[in-house]
Amino acid sequence: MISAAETSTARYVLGFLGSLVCTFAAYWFVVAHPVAHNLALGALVALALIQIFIQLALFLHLGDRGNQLNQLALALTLVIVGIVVTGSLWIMFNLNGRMMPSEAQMLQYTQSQDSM
Amino acid sequence: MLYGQHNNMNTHALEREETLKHETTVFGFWFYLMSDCLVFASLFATYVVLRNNTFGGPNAAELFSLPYVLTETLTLLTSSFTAGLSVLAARRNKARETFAWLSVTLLLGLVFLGLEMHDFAGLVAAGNMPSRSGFLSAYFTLVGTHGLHVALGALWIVVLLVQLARRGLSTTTTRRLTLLSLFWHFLDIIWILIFTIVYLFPFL
Repeated sequence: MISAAETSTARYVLGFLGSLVCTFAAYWFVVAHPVAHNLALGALVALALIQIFIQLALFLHLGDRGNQLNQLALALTLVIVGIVVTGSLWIMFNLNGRMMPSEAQMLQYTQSQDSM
Repeated sequence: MLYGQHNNMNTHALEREETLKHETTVFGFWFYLMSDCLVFASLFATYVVLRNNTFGGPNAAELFSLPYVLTETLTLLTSSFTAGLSVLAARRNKARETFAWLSVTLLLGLVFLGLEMHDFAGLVAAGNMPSRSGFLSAYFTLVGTHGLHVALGALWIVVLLVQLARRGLSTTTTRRLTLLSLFWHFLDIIWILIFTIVYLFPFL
């Protein structure tokens, strides 16, 4: 995927520095607790996605011309990954919500039945 | 004269064939990486589902140390960078530089593996083995599968270093180096997700 014309060190250095910034920024959000929980969660997801994008573009040269098939394969993979991950989480958390109640809840329920 | 021209055309055809072979192989390898993405996607989904099922045992925030994980992350990231520099040197036909950067990549990969093994050994010694809870089963499977990939990649680098030392930068060794760098960059991308989801999220 690395074409002969793409021999510039600058891209790799830029990719490395960008990845370092993303890593340290994510670390800082967790260690320093500068913002509320939900906002920090969003920031971590965004930083991870930015870093993946940086590495795909600058280390794997995915944006270069002649890589359309690779991009297509990646896009298809992401669709399947999305289905597998969101589908699994959806089903499992839904099942979890319908699980048998805890012993304490069961006891409370039977007692309420007995007293009737 | 005519013969010479004919010969020249043959060389061109051969070169074209070689380029095509290179591109086809790289694309095929890319497809393997994409299927590996699916393996990791399933393991990530499993981990997220099971992460709170600690069965009375310790949870993620109690077990993991942030500075330690940051060290692992920086080691692997730097090795991904040096793998890229190795390919760059090969493109410029500098065999010694290629060999040197690839050796640095191997060294950093082994440091990463050492850190991870030390981490795993500490967990197991404290009684937190995969059988302790659903959370730990999922953790060891996900992070262990990534570690196994890194170990196989390290073995691949060793073989490639031997080939580079014996044959130098041929079309074949350069192609193998390109595939290896794809594999190594891919493993770093998977690690970004492990770093964020497994190690950073519990501390928020």
